Formats: sequence, structure tokens, C-alpha cells
Amino acid sequence: MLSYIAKKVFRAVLTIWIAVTVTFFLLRLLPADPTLLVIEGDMTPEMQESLRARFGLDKPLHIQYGLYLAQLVSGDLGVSFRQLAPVADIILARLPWTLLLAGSAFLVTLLVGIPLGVHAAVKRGKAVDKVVQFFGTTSNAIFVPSMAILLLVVLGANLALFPIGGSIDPDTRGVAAYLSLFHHLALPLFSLVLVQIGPYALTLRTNMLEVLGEDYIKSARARGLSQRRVVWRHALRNAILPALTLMGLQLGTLVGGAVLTETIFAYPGVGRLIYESVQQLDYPVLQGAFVMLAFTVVVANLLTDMIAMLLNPRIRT
Amino acid sequence: MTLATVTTRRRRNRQSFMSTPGGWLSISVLVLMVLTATLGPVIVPNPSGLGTDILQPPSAAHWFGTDDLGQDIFGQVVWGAQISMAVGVAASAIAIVIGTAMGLLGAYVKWLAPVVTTLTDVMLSLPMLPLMILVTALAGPSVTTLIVVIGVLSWAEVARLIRSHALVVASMPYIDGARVLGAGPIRIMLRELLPAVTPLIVVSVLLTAARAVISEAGLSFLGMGDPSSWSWGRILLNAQRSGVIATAWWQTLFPSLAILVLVLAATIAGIRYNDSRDPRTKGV
Amino acid sequence: MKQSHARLRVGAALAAAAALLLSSCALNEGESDPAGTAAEGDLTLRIGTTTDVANFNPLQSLSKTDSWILNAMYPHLLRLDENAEKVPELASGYETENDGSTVVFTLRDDFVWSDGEPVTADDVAFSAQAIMDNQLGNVAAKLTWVENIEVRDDVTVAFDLSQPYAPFAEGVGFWMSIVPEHVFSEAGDLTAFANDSDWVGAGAYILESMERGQRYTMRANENYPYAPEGGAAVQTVEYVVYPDINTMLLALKNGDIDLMGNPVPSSALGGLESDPNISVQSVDSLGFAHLTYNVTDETLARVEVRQALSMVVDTESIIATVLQGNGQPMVGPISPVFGEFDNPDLEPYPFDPAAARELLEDNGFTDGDGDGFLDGAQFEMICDQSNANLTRVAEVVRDDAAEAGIKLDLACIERNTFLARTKDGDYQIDLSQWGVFDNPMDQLRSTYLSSNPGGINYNLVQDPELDALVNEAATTLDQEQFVERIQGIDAYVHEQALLTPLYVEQFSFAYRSDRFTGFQPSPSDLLGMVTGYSLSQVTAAE
Repeated sequence: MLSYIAKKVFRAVLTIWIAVTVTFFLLRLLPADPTLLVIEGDMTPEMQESLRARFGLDKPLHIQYGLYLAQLVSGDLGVSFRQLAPVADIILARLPWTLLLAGSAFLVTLLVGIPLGVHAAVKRGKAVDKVVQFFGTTSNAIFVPSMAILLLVVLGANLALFPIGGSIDPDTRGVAAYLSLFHHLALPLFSLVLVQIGPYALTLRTNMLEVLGEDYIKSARARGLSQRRVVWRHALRNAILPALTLMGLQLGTLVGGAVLTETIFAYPGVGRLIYESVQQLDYPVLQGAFVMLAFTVVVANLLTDMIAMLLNPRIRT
Repeated sequence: MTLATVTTRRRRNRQSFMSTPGGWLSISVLVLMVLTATLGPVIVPNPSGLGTDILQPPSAAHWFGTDDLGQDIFGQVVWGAQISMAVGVAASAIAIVIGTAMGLLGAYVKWLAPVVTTLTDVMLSLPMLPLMILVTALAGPSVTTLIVVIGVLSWAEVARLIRSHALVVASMPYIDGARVLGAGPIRIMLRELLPAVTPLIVVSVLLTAARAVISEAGLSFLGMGDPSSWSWGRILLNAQRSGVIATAWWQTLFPSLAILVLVLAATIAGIRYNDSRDPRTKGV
Repeated sequence: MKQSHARLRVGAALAAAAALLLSSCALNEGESDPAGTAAEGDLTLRIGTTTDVANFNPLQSLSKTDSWILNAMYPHLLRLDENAEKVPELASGYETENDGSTVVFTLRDDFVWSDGEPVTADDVAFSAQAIMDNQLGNVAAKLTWVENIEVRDDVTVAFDLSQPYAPFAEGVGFWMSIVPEHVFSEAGDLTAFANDSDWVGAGAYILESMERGQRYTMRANENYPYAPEGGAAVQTVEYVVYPDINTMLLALKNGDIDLMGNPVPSSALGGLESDPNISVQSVDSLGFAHLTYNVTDETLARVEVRQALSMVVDTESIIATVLQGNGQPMVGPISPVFGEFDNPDLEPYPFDPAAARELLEDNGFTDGDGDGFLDGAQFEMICDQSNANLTRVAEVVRDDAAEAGIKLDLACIERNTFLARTKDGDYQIDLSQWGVFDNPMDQLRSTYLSSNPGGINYNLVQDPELDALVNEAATTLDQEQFVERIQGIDAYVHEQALLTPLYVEQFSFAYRSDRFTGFQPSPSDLLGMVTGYSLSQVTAAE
């Protein structure tokens, strides 16, 4: 048990470290000069040199790296090149929105995808099954920005059912604020979920079909247990595990890949922050954002692993 | 296994693949797409210059309408097929080669297994699109950059798949037999394991290429694509920049449909191929 | 069985609790906004922007969105009116002494910082000194001749220059932000001062609160001297971030915002015409798009080659199609926006690819290999791909140049690479668009002096005759002579075809005319409809 957890934690730390290192060296080894973007046009070589010194870019690469790691370990994410504000402030202003969007996308995919997959497996060959199979193959083919735009124009602009972008109405308080929050969350959430729920339901269906053909299921039925118990208590518990792992792996895509959705819906997440920081060559913010994203994915993966373990204590890989 | 049974089995597989509408429809669509990408630019003129019909909806003269420069969108989609598909196929090739190598190594070479699995899991945990954005922006957007970036960041899923199936094959007795007979690890991986996972590779090629097309469209839409060549993502980018997404619906619809159709065809072909080899679901 | 079921329930409950906790974190940000203190009947104007505010320190380099907010908050000595002329803001006027070597600004005495302190000459002197000491932003270059700053009294500040420079007052007056000395002097190292909270300003609107990446709320400054009688009607200005301009357009139509800070792309204007609630106001750009030739290249060093290139640009069609008519042509480097400084006698190079080809052939160019292109007439043209119009223009020019036998290789590259290459002089032809020139003298000095003081001499031209013309004009104090000399340089550069001007873009700003009226726009998208002065004049529509 302990070694299992230890292995998972080791892997988590390794992932974060790799994310940090990859970002760090990519930024410094690829040809791009952040000083050029801070002052355009009239910049003397002296000004450029002093800027490079201020950004810490004048030191040898390995020293920069060491300094940065030391900084990270002490919890300091550094100061933004462009905004001069602490990176932590900048990222924390956006992180809750990313967590909200990704977290709810995760939950909704689970809550809707699981019953869909189960029903498709149980009612194999019937209409439900055909629909889930069709949807499972097509949903991945949808180009998210196109879907997002369609939703925004039709449901947001034409039918005025949902707000046009933004995260929340700032003039609301209390219950109204919660409602506004979810009202603004709906369309971005729907865009993200629509694209990934298909394959998820499909995987679950496949796994359920396999499990339902197992001997112990047949013996459970023979023992007189109701269909519902057999399916939902016994079969699902085993079928869900690979699907859960799949979701955990999708988290990386979900958390960072929402940049297109965030742009169109003006949703202030970390994905969009990364895009803007790349344009501005704001290294500290970029590094910080990747660290935070990797951290989030790793923590979420650990959580799903824990849940998997709770569901089936026999798991030891 | 005699030659006769092998060939009849193959013929049976091909039959059952093509016998379902999913099978032959998806293959025909893929063939059509490839034809469009290769022959289209020869027949359809390169969209360029300034036209006179600006932002026209689809009509007999312009099947997909025109954009804000008066250029024919149908021409743009046809020319875009070339780059979008080229990137998809090339990136997929890179991902497949790396992924298969990693998968086989991770399955057969015992001391490498933990390294490979850790590496694969880490790769899958990294945020893909932000990394692609980062590298493309820093290296300068071009078709080459896109292919390399998408390819190098897509091998992990392939590796995972290949490895899990190669593991099953690697534990079979005839592999031990081959080892006893003196075959080295490379020979065993190439001669025994690789053929056994080839059907999986075929499926992976299709699915990875489909995903790569979507990644390319996404990157182009963000302005990270190659500005000197047409791609489906770039048509969408033009619509976005011109502020006409809500009004000129045709400029967004047709490239999106192209992406949808291509990815759908590839996915269904992959699934049908898989099913046609699985005795349990053959013909379902 | 019950155990695992219970575990599942616990797990689900934990997840739900976590989700609620997270969402309440997000909600707390919303609740910290003291918008609840706004009184009934206060007008709020919401402005959309595609870019987040990055920098709150007005002494440093700013993006356009930064400028919109900071220029409304920190006064300048002079501002630009709708005719692109400098008029008083903080300064009521200026004079020169010592044959132009000393420039004296006289300030208004009724500007007050939002913490109650009066705005005095000390603030002006401090701002200028800070910029010079730290070499901050683009104003530092304009202060290079300043030897001494003298505060004569609370409303008088004098700049002693090492030599007379006619446009000094206008350049510094327009560009330099005046910051509160009593706040900024406490801030330590100004190069690292973020200034992202507790704002103290004296302009028309002061920042009150912000949510990074989402919303910036400003309140009207009741002490702003230029507000109409009784104070500005618009008490609150909110900048709302919409990264995608299409979403912003939808938001405007829906009424979520009242004004788009970013110009409406030409192709999208048609979609707004039918909406009775939305009106559009247009202003000219203070910059212009151009092709600039690197004259250190031996082929481009020849004036006939540059003249031929000038003849393959179909300005009329470009303006008609790429800009959808929203632009005007120009001849020579001085924009028509500068009125009398633009030499009216200059003949534009005609759009005539055949004549261009002839000109080249007459000067020794031949098509030896029969590929349709004249040998040696091949150039690489770089452009910034983030400028959507210019990428289109590049294609058009390339196609037209081909007709004249000139082969143009397009390199519309990513912005960072573009900036690096322009800085290094690593290009043959540069296709780009100047942002803002506030006066022609500064423009000519920055772009044509061989010493390259502004770093933007993209011709890399070293012409002693041109230097002499520019330096002579710079020290001319007599207005009539000054205009004549500027026009002379206009003609010289045009004859030398150092650049091929493309167009002066016209920016169109869309707003809800059913709700607001009375904007006082200024030229360029840096100012547009959102200057502090303009916003303070806005009233509710009838």
C-alpha cells in the first residue's frame, strides 16, 4: 500500500520537475528575445543589456536554472517581465476559473458518460446503443472553436439564453452570484464536454461489455441478484477503472487545451494566460503557468488513483 | 499455420471490413480526401489576389462563398486539404515511429519498462496544446515546425497502446522459444512483436493522424500556423481576424465540415478495421 | 458492498464540496468589487478591449490598452484634438526663451490629485527626471537634449536644452505622463514599480479596482477641470476584456458593452450597418503603412530600382479591397493628417507594372534565363504576420510585382522574429505600419538621420544631404520656414523613393448610440474615442 502511494507521489514530483525543466530550457534555447518586446523601436544596446540583467537572462544557463529551482522550492514563482507583478498573483487570478471549468467538465463527463456507457452496454444493439456508438465516434471529430462559436452565436446571441462571454456578472451577490457563475459556465462547459464525452462513454461501454460477459457476473445473476444490482454494483465497479484512468490522462488536455474555448468565451483561464504570455515572451509567467498546470494535473491524477483504489483495493500496478 | 489458411483469413477480414457501410464509406471518403489534396490544387486555381465579390454566401459561382478579400472559399478548402492532411500524416508518422519503438522497448526490455512507463505517463500529463503553442511561437511558425511539434508531442498515447498489447504477445511461449534459439532482442522485437502489433499500428496511424489534423487546425486558428500556405485552420483564422465569424457563417462552416468529415472517416475506418479483426464483433 | 457504496458517497460529497469551495473562491473575487457603493442613476460606460492591461506604470512602455487606461488617469501637458493639433491639457500653454533653447510650460492651477494634493510643477519635473534617470519608455529619447529642469514656481517649469529643437514642447507635452511625485518618489526602483493598486491620478478617470484578465473599473475624477459643468455624466468606466473581437461584436450588439475600444475590422462594418442601436465614428490613423527599402543592399541602393518598386503597388485597389475603402493614399513620407506639412505638389508614382519593367530594363536589367523575371530583381519582403491587413497586402504586391518581372519572396513572419530582424537590419524590404507619429519633425528625425537616434531608421540610410536638411529643419523656429523645410524633405524622400507609402488607415469605432452620445474622438487608435477628455464629455442619448 505504502509503496504504491510512494510510487505515485514520486511520479507526480517527476512530472512537475520535467514540466518545469522542459519549459525553462525551451524558452531559453529557442530563438526569441523577450527584451525586444518590452521596449520597441528606440532601444539602445545599453538599455537592452540592463533589461537582460534585470530579467536574469545574462547569467549562464545552468546558473539561471539552479536559481530558478531554488526559487520554486521556496514557493516563489518570480516576477512577471511585463507586468512587474508577482507571478503567483497573476496566475492565482486565473487559476480558479480553470479549475472550475476543468473540474466541472470532468465531473459532467463522468456523471453523464457513465450512465450512457452502462445503458449502451446493457441495451446492446438497441437504439441507445447505436446512438452512443455513433456519438462516441463523431464527437471527437468536432473542432472545438467551431462548436464554441456555433453555441455562442445561436444560444448566446440569437436566442439570448446564455451570456456572451465572461465568467460572472460582477453586480450579483449571494445566490444570484452562484447562478450567474453557472450561467456563464454553461456554454464553455458544454463545448468542452461535448467533444470528450463520446469517447468516454464508448470506452465505458466496451469495458462493461467485457465485464458483463465474465463468469462472476453470470454467477451473481444465477444467485438471484437483480439486474440493477448486478450492473451498477458489481459490473460497473470493475469496468469503471480503465475509464477513470483514461479520464485522468485526459486532464492534461482538459486543463491546458481549453485555451481555444477560453478565447472565444472570454473565460479568464490559465490556458489563455499562457497564450498571451507566449505572445509577450513573459518567461516567468509562462514557467509559473506550466508549473501550476502540471501540479493541477498531477494532483487530480493522484485523486483519481485514490478513488480507484477505494473502489477496488485489489489494484496494485 | 499454412499459407492457405493465412490467405483465406486475410480475404475474410477484408471482406468483412468492406461489407459494412461504415467500412467502405469511410475508406471512400478517405480516398476522396487524399485525391482532393493531391489533385485538387492542380484543378482548382490557387486562391489569391483581390476579388470583387466580397463576403458572398454560397452560390453557383462560388460553392462555398467568398471571404473578405473576395477569394473563393471552395478553392481555399481544396488547397487547405493539402497542408492539413500533409501535417496530419507526417506528424502521425513521427508519433507512430517514436511511439511504437517506445512501446516495444517498454514491453520487451525488462529493465527499460519502468523508464518507458514513467516517461509515457509524464508526457500524457503535460498540457499538450500550451506546449505546442510555446514551441511553435518560439521556433517560428512553419509547416515543418507544426509537423515536428505535433508529432513529438503525440507519441505517448501510441506508446501506451502498443506497449499494453506487446506485453501480451511478449509473454507468449513462442517468444521464449525464439530467445532460446538465440535470437537477440532487436530481432525478436522486429520479427515477432512488430508484426503482431501491426494491426494496432494501422489503427493508431488513422487515429493519430486524425488528432494531428485537429491539432494543426487549432494551432493555425491561434495564428501559429504557416502564414504562407493554406490550411483549414487558417481559413477559420481569417474569418476570426476579419470579425465576420458571426455574419459570414460559410467561412467557418465549410472548413469545420472538412475537418469533421476527415476525422470521422479516419476514426470509423480505424474502428471498422479493429472490429473486422476481432472475432467477437465482426460484422456487428 | 455497503462499504464501497458509502465510500463512493463520501467521495462524491468531497468532490462536490471541493467544487463549491473553488467556485466560492472565484465568487469572492467578484464580491470584493465595491460596485455596490455606486449611487443610483450613475451612468456606467462599458468598453471592450481584446488585450489585458499589462503595465500600470505610465513612465514605462505601454501597449494600446495600457495607454487607454493610464492616459485617462495621468494627465499630460498637452493633448491631441480631433484635428491632430496639440491643445492644452495640464499645461495652459508654453513659450520659448533663449532663442528656443529653453522651453517654459505654464500649468493650470486647478488640477488636483485624487488624494487631495494639487498637481504642481514639481510633479512635472519629477516625471521628466525619473524618465531620464532610468531611461524609461519612449519618452526618454525625446528628453535627450534636456540639460536642466527648473521649477520656477508651482505652475511654471522650464526645460533647458543643449540646442533649440522646435518640436520639443509638442513631443514631450503629448507623450509624457505626469505622475504624482509624492507617491512615486516613495516607490523605490521605478523600473520595478508595478503600480497595480491604490492609484492616485489627476486625469478624467481614476482606476478603482481590477480583476486581472477580466475587468478594470475607473471612477470619474470630480476635480477634472475639463469635465462639463456639474461633472462628467459618465461616473463609471469599465473596461471588459474580450480576447476575440467576434465575441466583442456580439457583446456590443447584445448591449453587454457600450463601446468597442478596438477598431472594428473593415470587413465587419457591413454587419453593423443594419443595427439601429449602433453607430460608428471614424478617425484617421496617425501612422501609415509602407514599404521601406534597405538601401545598404546594393540593388536597392539604386534609386531606379526603388522607383520601379514604387510603381508596382496598386494603392487604389488595396485601399478599396483590403481596407474596404477605409483609408486614404499618401505621397511622400508626410501623412496628409499633418495638414500643411504634407507637400501638395508631389506627383505619386503611377501604378504601372509595364513601365516599371521598362525602367528596370533601361537601367541594365535583363531576363537572361527566360523565367519571366528580370535577373537580379529578386527581393525578400518581411512583414509582421500579426497584422492581418498587411499579410493580405503583401500577397497583392507580390502578384503585381511579378507582372513587372520583379520577384518578391514573402516572409510574413511571427512578431518576435520580425522585431528581431528589423532591429538587426536583416531584411531587404520591410512592409510594416507605423503606429503613431505625433509630429512630422520627430518622425523625420527618427526615420532618416544617419545617426539613427530613435532606432527606427529602417532604410539604414546614411545620406549627408538628407541629414543636413533634417537638422536644419529641426532648429528652425520661424513657423513658415519650418513648414517649407518639412515640405522640402517630403519632396526629397519622395524623389529618392526611400519608401513607398501605402495608405493612412481609417479606424472605425462602434458604440451604442441609443445609449450614449457626445464622444470627442481624436485621431489614431491609440486615442480614438477613449481619451479621458472624450469620455468626460459623454452624455446619455435622448
